[in-house]
Amino acid sequence: MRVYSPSTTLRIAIIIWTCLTSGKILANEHTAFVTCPIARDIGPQSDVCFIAEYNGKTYGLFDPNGYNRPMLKHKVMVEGEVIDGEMICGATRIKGVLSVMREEISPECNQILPDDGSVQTKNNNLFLRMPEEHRQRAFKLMAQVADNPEASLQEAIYDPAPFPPVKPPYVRQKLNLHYPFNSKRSSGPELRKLLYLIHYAKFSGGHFVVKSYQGATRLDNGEVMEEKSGMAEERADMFAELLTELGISKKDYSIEVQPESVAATGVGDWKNRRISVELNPAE
Amino acid sequence: MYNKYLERLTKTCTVMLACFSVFLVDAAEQSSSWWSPGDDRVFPRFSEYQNASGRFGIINTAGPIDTSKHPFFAAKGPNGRACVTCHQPSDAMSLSVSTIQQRWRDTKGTDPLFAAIDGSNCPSLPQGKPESHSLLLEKGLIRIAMPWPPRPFNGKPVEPEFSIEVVRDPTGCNLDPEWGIDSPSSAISVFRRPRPVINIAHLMELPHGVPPFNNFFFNDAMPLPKGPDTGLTVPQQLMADGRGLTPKFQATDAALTHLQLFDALSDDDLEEIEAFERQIYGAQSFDNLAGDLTSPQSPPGLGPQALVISPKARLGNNPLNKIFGEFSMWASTADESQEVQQDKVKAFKASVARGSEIFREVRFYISDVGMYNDKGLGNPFKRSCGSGCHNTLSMGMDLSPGFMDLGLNNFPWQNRRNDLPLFKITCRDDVLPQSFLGREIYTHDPGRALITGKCTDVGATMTQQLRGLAARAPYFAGGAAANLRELVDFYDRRFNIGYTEQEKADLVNFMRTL
Repeated sequence: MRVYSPSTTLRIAIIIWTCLTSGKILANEHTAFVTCPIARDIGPQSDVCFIAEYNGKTYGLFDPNGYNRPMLKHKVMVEGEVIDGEMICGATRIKGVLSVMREEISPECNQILPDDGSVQTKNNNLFLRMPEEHRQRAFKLMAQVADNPEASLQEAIYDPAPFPPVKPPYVRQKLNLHYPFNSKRSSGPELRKLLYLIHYAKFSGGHFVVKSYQGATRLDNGEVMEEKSGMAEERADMFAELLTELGISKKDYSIEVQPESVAATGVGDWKNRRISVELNPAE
Repeated sequence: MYNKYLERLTKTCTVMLACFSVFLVDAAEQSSSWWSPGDDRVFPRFSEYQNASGRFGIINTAGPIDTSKHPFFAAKGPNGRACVTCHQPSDAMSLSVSTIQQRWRDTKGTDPLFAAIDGSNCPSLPQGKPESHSLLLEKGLIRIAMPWPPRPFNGKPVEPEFSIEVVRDPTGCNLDPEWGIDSPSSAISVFRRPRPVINIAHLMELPHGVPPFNNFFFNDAMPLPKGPDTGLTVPQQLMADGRGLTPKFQATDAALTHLQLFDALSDDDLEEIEAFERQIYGAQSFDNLAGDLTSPQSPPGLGPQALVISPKARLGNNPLNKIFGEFSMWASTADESQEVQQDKVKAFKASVARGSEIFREVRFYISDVGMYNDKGLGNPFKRSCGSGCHNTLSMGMDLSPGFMDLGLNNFPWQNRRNDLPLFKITCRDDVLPQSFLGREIYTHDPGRALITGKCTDVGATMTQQLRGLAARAPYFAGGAAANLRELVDFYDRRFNIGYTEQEKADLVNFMRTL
């Protein structure tokens, strides 16, 4: 057995402690708070981005879950993991979700920071986000405009390709749709996933089992914020309407409502505000 | 190469044919622009109509039609009106105030247009006096009586989230014992401009390239509604408040209200009306300064042919499409002051080209717009006119159809209007408030909320296409802007944009050519 000197042992201990407390070995720190968003101007050719100041730190607010961006005149609930070293809007990124607190107006949330050049803007060219084939066609048309101005009236942004046919064997499909606090509006990307599930069911047949939940969030200051009573039911009603509108008959789905808020832990509480969908293919 | 040649040949032939049609069929069109119901006239393949800035052109892709018995043009109801009464070809299939005033002078107020039911401020007023028709004569506004509480929408009962109180009633109609909110028929009278019935094929196309919002309503991420007559998913671009989802539905509603028809229009009539509306395309075709807007040297997005060839319901806010296509052929780098003196035409064209660029490139903070900033876009949202609410290729309406409160109806943004009724909306405590105005809102027109009963919808209306603007002043649903300069000034003030005088002039020049 190797024996270390007291000074070496101390050094090792310090290194381990430093690594642990710096957050680079430990999982990222979870955070949840409600505050005023601050808009930051990042140049004449860009949309604004949003930050929030909380407990002496500044965080970049990024909404990965579709369109749910912060709003001045309203507070925002921020839930997620602090990603040290990753910057959004010139501040430390929080990977998680945002919920605009729409129930009440907060006139004090009204700050826009002027552009100071500190945040580099991304290229806003929509074409760069398109599939390669579409992008090449768009660039080709752009090259033609000088000689043939009518090319500028041809479509440059196309519908996505239809979902491909699904082949057996059909297997159970699961999907969670998450919602902002006290909201029943789905996000665009998750709606696309739901559309795929319905497309899948057209081939596989089967039954949808839907469970609707509402949640609570434990904030960093210890306060627990519960969604309003009946939220799970409202989500379920809206989802049933959605399925019906999308051509799923009532006999092909069942919905269970979980009326009690799932208990808050302070870690990933936003995941409890959801509708879970399971498609069990026909035998 | 061959395809390109064919395209050019086709375009040239179409233009020649159009010109020939004008020459043959339409020689008298400009001298007699008012179209009375039942006029024994032919609606030609191509026609042009004079307005203050030039001429508005309409292409009727199905070819000439005899209108004497056509249900769009023939008087159907007891008041002698037809669809064409309020959707005049000379006015981009809408109705301008100058035309309305001329019609009053020509007929001494006896034209069916001025029918008591909605061509006057209230049917209970003494008819035939200009003051009883002041909203129509001065602002081009037609009275719309909306049931209160709202009728079932899409078959679903509506429980309003708010109460409504009449604060001021200059027309007398909202407190009228026969026509008002407390009358047996309980109606809210609002006053709106007739929307242009042109380029309807574009308005009825579901949006492309914005998945999943080609089939979903952006505001609540629920499926777009289905037309009651077709069962097919439809956008909601047709009417200011979205109550009429399809041309047939709109025509049915209009016939029963504006035409005072006792029975619904027949299926054949509705088919004919919808077919006609879907086959006509229009835009300004000649400008008094720029000349022929359809010439090969003009920007390809100008003139009615652009609407025929342009793909429908596409995003235009990208480097290729630039909303209304390329305008660089009119751009000028010459010294401005010299040009104005030497060549007014060239200077005007350069101004239009600059205006198109300002329209699509100059961003500003779009803030506190109910049902816009709060549908997930963020507040503020920094966009230009063209990359924001007017992003549809060749048409300039909002592609992902959305009703929004731009401040045209609600306090504090609207222009103070003593001629319109004023309502106080009080929303229930248990519902979402209007995101920026709260639960107590003063409005001249609750807009979409009179359909959905939702507090968040108060004052919201659907954005409009931007075609034929020169032919159909005044602008906005309530006719608040008498001309394009007032329209630009409203937005400049509303969003604190800070356009320079030159930029405002450029935007006005650009818009008048559309």
